Amino acid sequence: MELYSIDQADARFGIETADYITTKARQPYELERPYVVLFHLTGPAETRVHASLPKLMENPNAHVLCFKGTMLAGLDKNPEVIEEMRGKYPGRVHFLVPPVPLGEPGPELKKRMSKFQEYLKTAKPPVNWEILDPKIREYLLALWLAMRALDAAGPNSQLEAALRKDPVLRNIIIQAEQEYQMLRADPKASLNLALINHHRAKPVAAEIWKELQLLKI
Amino acid sequence: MERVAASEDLKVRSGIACRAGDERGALRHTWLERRLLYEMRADREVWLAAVPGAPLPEVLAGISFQLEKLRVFLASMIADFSPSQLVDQGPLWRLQERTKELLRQSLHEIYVADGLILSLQADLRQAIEAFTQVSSEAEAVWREGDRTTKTEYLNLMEAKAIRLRDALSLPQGVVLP
Repeated sequence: MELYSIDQADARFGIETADYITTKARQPYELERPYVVLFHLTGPAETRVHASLPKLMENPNAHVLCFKGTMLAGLDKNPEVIEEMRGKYPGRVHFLVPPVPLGEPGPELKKRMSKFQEYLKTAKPPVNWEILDPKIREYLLALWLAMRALDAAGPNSQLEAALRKDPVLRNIIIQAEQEYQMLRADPKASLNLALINHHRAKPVAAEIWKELQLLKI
Repeated sequence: MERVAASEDLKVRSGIACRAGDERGALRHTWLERRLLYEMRADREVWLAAVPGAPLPEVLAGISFQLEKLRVFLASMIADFSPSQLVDQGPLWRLQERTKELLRQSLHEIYVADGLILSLQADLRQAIEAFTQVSSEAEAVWREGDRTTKTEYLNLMEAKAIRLRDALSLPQGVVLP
């Protein structure tokens, strides 16, 4: 599947793709095969979606990846719009969960986009959006489970001692923070878990839970 | 979904696949929706027109087998939907054995203490009991019942089957603690 972009949306991901409008004007036959368009929802996301998506979706080969500088392509406060569009264009539209900031995308997002581009080279519909935007952030979920258990175990528990001594947990924290930073579009965002203890467990679990709930939309 | 508060929704709709989740889906969709409820509607006229003593329709005769599966599902659902299984998949799997053991135990305790799974189990138990009671009368109704008796019976059975289907709508995947 080909990957196109509108208004240089590709630059936000640090990649290069063909321009959708130019291709449509000069090489319309190119659009006779399934393709994906990167679409930056500038302005109020809800208005932009209703104004532009139906037109973009007229071609049944079209698949659109909507994104913005804020979470869920700017529609985190309007999940009903996401549901409406998913219902209208099943499998053909995706609203990117992590924000795509101006300038360089974070390393995690860059890595996923590169994987997604590679996947598209041989992909056929339906598009597996999970490659770019997995629903379950496995490290965040793992850390949430550990913190939830640690909180419930109480202070000075055997679990607290075991988690502190376990070298694998440190790696889980590092990976979870990368997922967290990607969701926050903030390379400095931290879960502040330099020291693993019962007192930090509750706020960290609550913070991750908020992210997990958003991902579920 | 009225039985679970919105803030708890993700816990019972995690979407994280597990064997019990597949079993729940098969009982709800494959058997109840696509087989039993579908045939009760599609074949109703044929069933009502059958003379007393006619053989019981296959889908009704097979209910006892499905009920047995349901009872096994009900009995093991607390263990089968437990988040403790997540310790053995994904990144936590690499933790040391002792850490995993403590985590499994703690996650299971929180999940049970939370009460969500217990209330889903209690709801399902009631729905199974009500459906069992009605379905146990099927043979007698078919042996002796006239059209009116069968109509009333099928209406009742349909209502109990819908109640059972609703009770089987959750959990969708491993339950989060």
